[in-house]
Amino acid sequence: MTTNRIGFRQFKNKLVKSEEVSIVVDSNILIAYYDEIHSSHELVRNFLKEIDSITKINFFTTVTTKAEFLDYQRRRFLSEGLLDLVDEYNARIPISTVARFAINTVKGRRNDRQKKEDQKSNKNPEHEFDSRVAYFTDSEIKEVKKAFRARDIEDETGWLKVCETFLRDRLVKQEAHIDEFCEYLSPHKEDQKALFVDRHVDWKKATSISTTSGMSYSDSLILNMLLHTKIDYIMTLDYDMVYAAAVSAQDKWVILPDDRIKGFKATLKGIQ
Amino acid sequence: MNKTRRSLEEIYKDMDAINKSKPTDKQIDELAVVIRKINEENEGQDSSDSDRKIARSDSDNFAME
Repeated sequence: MTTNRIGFRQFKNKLVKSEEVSIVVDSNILIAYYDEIHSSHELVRNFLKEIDSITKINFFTTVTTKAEFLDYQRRRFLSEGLLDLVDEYNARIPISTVARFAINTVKGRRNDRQKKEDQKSNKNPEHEFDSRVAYFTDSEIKEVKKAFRARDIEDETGWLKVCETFLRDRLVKQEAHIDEFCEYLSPHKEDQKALFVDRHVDWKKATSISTTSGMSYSDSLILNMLLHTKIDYIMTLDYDMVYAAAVSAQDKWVILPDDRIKGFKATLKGIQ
Repeated sequence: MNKTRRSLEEIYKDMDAINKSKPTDKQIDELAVVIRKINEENEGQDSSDSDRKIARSDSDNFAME
């Protein structure tokens, strides 16, 4: 039984100069590529740089994936900004005791998470450092946001100014760069007409993909979209995506780091 | 679909510069002004709250007398 998994090296060797290739990218590829603390950052960065220098690669993704990436960056920029408020700008910006306490509380939790993740990585070199632990969770950001609300004042001027200072411009600019990096698959776009096998995307099939292997619904949306196109490749770092593609998208190729291919052999034995 | 894009490396450098960027001095000063204003409003609110409490307690005492 042949597999539908192809390693970075093998994929790169297959590329022919002047032959255009289209690839759908998963959110974890975008995150690893743009976040230096991600354990696969160097690997993904070098790979993308190399294949981009060989031939023209058209990167595609879905708007859901774009949202996942921008949401990661939102948490990242807000976390870095809030941490700077109690560290780098501590003397210059007189935030209230309540706000300082809220930031330091979530900072403590963040530090604990990061420490545990570091310990796991030190213990097991194969452990993937989860870069998300370095940033505040959504509920932690909300906790801090509430501390910024001025008492008996209806609007949240303080918090809005924090967002304007640390988040707004950076995320707006990054969105423009991501829009340049990849195209968003849509059966409604006339210029993508030729890409689709079926322009009537059946969203119920996403539910079927999700319920077959138990993968997240947002991941099944991207796999479902891929199945409606003529695009042959999807690039991912995610075990769940590889698993679901082995079960529900056997005609598509999954591009993944070379060292992970071996790891899937045992669990996917009998399927592929 | 066949949009032209710069090389991935060029886009990467722009993204990386944003990732590493910090607010300008002007932005930090503006934020400091807003935060200071809110703190003052809060302090004003605290003192008017406590004035109201004192007034209420005075009138309660007066009523009891």
